[in-house]
Amino acid sequence: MAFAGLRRLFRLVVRPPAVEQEVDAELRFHLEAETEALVARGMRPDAARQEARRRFGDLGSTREVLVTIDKQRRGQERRAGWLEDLRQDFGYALRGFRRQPGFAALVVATLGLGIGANATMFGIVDRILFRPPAFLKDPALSDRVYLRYPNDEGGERVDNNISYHRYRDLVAGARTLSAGAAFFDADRIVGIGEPARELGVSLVSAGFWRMFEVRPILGRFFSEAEDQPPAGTAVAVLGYGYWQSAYGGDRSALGKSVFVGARPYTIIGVAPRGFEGLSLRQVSLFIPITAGAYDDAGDRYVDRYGFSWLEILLQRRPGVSREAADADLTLVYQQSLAAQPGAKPATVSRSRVELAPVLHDRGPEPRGEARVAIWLAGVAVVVLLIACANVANLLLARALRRRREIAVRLALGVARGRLLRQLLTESTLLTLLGGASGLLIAHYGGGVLRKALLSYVDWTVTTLFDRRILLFTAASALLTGVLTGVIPALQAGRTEVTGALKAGGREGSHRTTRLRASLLVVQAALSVMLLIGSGLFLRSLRNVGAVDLGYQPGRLLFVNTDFRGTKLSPAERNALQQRMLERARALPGVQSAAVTFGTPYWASLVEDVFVPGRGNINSLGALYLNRVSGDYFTTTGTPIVRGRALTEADRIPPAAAAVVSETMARRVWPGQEAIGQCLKQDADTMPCSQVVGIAKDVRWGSLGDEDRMQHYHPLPLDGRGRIYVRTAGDPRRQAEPLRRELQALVPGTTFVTVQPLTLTLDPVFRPWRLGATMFTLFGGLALLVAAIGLYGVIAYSVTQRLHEMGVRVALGARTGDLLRLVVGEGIRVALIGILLGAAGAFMAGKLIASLLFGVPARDPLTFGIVAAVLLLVAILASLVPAWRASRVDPNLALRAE
Amino acid sequence: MPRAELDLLQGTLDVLVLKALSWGPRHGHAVATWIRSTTDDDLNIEDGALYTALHRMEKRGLIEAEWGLSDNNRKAKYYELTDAGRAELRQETARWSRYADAVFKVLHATRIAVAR
Repeated sequence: MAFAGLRRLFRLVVRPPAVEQEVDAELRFHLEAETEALVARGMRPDAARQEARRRFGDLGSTREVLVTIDKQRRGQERRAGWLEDLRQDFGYALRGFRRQPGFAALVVATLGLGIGANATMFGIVDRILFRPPAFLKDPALSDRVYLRYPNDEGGERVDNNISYHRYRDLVAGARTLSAGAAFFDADRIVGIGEPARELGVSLVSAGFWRMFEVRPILGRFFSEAEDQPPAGTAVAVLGYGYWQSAYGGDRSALGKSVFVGARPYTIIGVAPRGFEGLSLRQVSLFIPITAGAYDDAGDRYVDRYGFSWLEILLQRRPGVSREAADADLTLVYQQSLAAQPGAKPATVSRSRVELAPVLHDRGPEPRGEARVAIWLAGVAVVVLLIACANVANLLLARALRRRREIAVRLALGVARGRLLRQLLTESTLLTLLGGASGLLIAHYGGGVLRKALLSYVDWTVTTLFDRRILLFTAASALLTGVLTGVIPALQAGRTEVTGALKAGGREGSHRTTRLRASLLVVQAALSVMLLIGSGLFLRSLRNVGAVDLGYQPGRLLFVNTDFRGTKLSPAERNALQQRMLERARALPGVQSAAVTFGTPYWASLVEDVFVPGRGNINSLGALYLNRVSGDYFTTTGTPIVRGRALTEADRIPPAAAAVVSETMARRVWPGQEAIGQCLKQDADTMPCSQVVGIAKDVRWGSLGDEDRMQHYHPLPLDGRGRIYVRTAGDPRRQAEPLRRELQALVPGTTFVTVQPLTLTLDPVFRPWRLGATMFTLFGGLALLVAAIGLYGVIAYSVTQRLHEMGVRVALGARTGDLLRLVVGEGIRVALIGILLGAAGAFMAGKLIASLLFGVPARDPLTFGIVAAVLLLVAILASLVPAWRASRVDPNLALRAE
Repeated sequence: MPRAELDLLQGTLDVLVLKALSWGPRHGHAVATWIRSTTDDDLNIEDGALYTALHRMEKRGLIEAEWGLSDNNRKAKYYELTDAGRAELRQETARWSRYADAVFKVLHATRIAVAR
């Protein structure tokens, strides 16, 4: 069937004879007529023929000229005719839409949603996965460096944090590279006093600039001489955006001094607009990496291999493959490792370098959000497919309703090709309108989505009306136009003139109904897949939310104090911390406050632990240490299961108490009472810390961290840490007043930040929250569209079969019989769709499993609920037309013929 | 051939052809015969140039062509003026008359104009 249609598409039109033949015929006629005229005047035939040729002039070249002129004319006519046809088709289509504005609006809205979702997701995925960083010299030869090395548990670790010393070794030793640079994206406090802000600052080596095709728009970039370890030179290059916002784009910013972290930097240049290095965030300042590192760590960073923090950007020599560079760098890496004191040969030989694309999310460690975003891009394509199927169905229904009109026009001699073109023009026009509305949807709705999905990306760089996004949208709109238009158009092209013109013409409609039903099955199947996805993510999110962290992050604030080089004696510092703690406790709305060393998902400390008579017990697994002040357990909300919590009194020597987690108590002293046991930190010679309490397990490092061995010790009186505050109400409302109070207490350039702990935990939950929201949104949309489609098809087939229904009623069929008949049709479509969709979801399950939490990808409960929901929707959608069918008056239906 | 002369020739030929068609559709041979007999063969126009003019004007939309049967029942290409062609003929006739008048006045001048 489809083939016949295709043949019709490509069939040759009857062409006028070739230009050459026409010209020859005309000239032949002329010469013959002239010869005859001369003969008639008495000339001999051959002399006459010669005279005719003479009078004509150069026959050959004239023929050429005539052929050329006529070919040009034909071309002109063809173009004019084509344009005229197009104009007519557009006019015809627009008139049709005006007659049925509801239909046009429905189609445009459906496509707009589909295309809008795709334009948005393309913008996102393009930014994180495809668009090379702006200004990068040779993206195909540029790589980000990852190290792979064995970890303690016998597995392997992938790490893109590298020490400065190792970076120097790698770049100096490699022979396959043309350039290498180090960079590190940091948050730094910039400015002093009230205008001070935490901003994105890139620490980059001097060689970084040479890897980009970039010139400062003002001043200069820093040089190797300014990037010498240990301290570098305190110079800064401003990012364009920051130059605009903080200096109003004033050229006099050059030479000014700006406080970054602990010391003033001299502004020497401004980077051009859009230059962010490899960062996806907005970079406010670029400073020499040696200067930035020195501010943080003094000269310790220079020759310690263990001090891993920076990232490396490399450029291979032209012609060098990534694998060749991997091998070369691995060799250098292993040599560098082997030269380290205490190197283990087994570790050295299993360590290697892996180069990956410069875009972080294409490397071996994509962020969770990025992985979810890729899935959502796939989902958006599915939504567009559903929208296509639905629009194709609507157009098909319309074409069927216009069967008689089309037959009349065919009978009147309109070429089928012309008719086909007209129908395609109609659907293309619809999808172009859909594409335009899609762009608007992407612009307004997409902004919210972009921020929610990938909050770490600076979206101001790419606008919606970006060339790549526009191209993508136009291409998808056109493709959609062809996809949705071609099937109905082919169907219409098949119209049998005589059959359709015969009164009543019902025959032949069965096949098209089947086609429409298969489009519906496709929609149902795709909806099922999306809904299953949404179900799985919803259950993951619920599981994540239900995880008992062992502490209550909901109403916790934590305070970070950055001294920025302000010199305080230990005694002054302790006094300050104590004052801040007291001030925090005094604030209305604060329930309690404590000082702690570690922060969830931020800082953990592992130290050796000794038990008398058993020596070092670190063979049992990692033992995490935290040092806390009194009130710690009440502040964080970690319950003490047995014994007592640590108090302020425990901090005063020689008291030595400890609290251990349930898991630690169980593993270290199996079958014994842990309370009263002795622990020694760091060395066997240390004094005993007596276990006084057992606390509930906490998930501190990650959500899967369920059996963490954690032990708590009193924070020494001169110990430092972060202040934790438990508020009575919403912590976000308390954060700013608390910050202002505490900022007033600190001396010099010290900078205080106060953050809700949920903000730190948020990235942990975000992938699931996003997946759940987006899959549900798209899945719901798909279900709605499919339901409308089902309703439309059933309603149409009921109208087509009114006659048959009438006969059935006349023969004694009851209401129930008719209901069953019609609803059965809907259920059949739904069941096939469910089966196909479930099979698809079953197969896709393996891919999505790693994104879920606590629920298998082939969760029977989810599959079951989705199947039930879809079945229910199908029944509801077919019940309305079924009810109408059951009320058919047999007399009316039979007389209508 | 110098450009000015060609233009003159071409323009002249065009207007003659348009005139030849002003009484109704004719094929190329009839146009040639008509021009030759009307000018007593004084202009000595090659038939090839005539056909070139016909086709060029067809392309410009001044005339339209259609295949028909000649007097002795043979297929011939008939040319017919379009509305644009009729307008062109009117305009060109007026221009030619003015031009010819002007040249005539100069050639038959009886006194020398005095510049003031």
